[in-house]
Amino acid sequence: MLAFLVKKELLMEFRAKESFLTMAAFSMVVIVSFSFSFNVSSGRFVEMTPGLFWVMVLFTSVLGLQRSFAYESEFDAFSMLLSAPVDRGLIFLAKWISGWIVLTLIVLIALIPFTLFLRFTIPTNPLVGIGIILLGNASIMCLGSFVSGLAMRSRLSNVLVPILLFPLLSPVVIASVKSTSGWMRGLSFSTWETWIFVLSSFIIIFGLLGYTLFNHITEE
Amino acid sequence: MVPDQEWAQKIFYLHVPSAWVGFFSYFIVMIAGILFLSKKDHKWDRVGLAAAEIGTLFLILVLITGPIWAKPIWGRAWIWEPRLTTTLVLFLIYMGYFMIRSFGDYPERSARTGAVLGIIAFVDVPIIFLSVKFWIPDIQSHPQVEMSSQPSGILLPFLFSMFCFTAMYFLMLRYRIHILSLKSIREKNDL
Repeated sequence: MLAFLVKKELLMEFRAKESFLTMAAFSMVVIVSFSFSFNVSSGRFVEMTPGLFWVMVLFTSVLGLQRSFAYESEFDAFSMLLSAPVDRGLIFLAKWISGWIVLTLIVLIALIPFTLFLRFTIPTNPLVGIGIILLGNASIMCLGSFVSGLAMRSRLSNVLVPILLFPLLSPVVIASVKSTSGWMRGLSFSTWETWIFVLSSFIIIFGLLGYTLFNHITEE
Repeated sequence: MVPDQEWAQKIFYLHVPSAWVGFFSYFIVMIAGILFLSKKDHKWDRVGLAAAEIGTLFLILVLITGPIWAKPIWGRAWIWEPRLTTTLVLFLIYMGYFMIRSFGDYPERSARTGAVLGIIAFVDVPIIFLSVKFWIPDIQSHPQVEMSSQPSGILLPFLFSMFCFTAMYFLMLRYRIHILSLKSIREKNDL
């Protein structure tokens, strides 16, 4: 059933391409804004790039999160989804997994202009970086999917998602930036393994909480 | 709680009890949230909302008194010290909590949203604290002097202050729950 729900989410996303296109365009706009705001040729700028990269990911993810529940409210589609004989926790998992796939695709595409415009040099072991991106994105989309479900039926839900999400995600931002920085500087894994532990714990804790509590926030 | 801080140390009789009461209050929000979701009794929603309001009031006191103490001791009003940073992040989360409760469409749904958010916010606290602690490990933390080694001239007033703040908290909580109950009865009568 989970595979079916994820397939439904991805099909809707790739048919309409709304989130995908807006997120890709927005990430590009953010990168260009960073290029104008900072002295890219400065030696100290390299130290800031992991932080800027994750700020871009965070801002871009909010656009996708807002869309993922917004289209469910059209023709009251979400009520129909809830009336289906499906465990509601699985709806949360499907939103999380599909959002994670879409965000990771966007981030991998955005890496090209990021390296080009902001002189972001990818170290020799890119698979480690992809692993960090996968973990960071999974953490963001885990809590993000839950919070957008929580805010979906409020007035001003578009504004409430980032206000609620950013402070809750502060450990994820710190851990993602620190692990990306460790990877970029070529430090040994033992010096930044704590941050991978923080990200993994975050995913497990909020994944379980989201699965358990999603039923309560979707009660009619 | 070190004697050589002279007058700056006095603020700890206000700062530490406020922090204790603020965090304890958010713990009550989480417990009330769990009880509301399991028992569906609106009494627990009122307890959670009252505790969230009073807890936020005390956290504002912490965020005001912390920099007042830090300025003469550290030379700067704000340092990203783990406990103070966790307090700030928690305060921001609760700003979102009050907004989502105010902008919700149905009271029943707002109550459920508040309960869930109260649980999530408190679970996030230790993760935020550890992340900030490892983030800049060189940053000086609050003085960590053992309470048992404090002279009685400091320890006794401190314990008295903790007791008074805790007693005041329970009194405020009781009155706020009572006011919210009356408000709820009035809303029911209006319908």
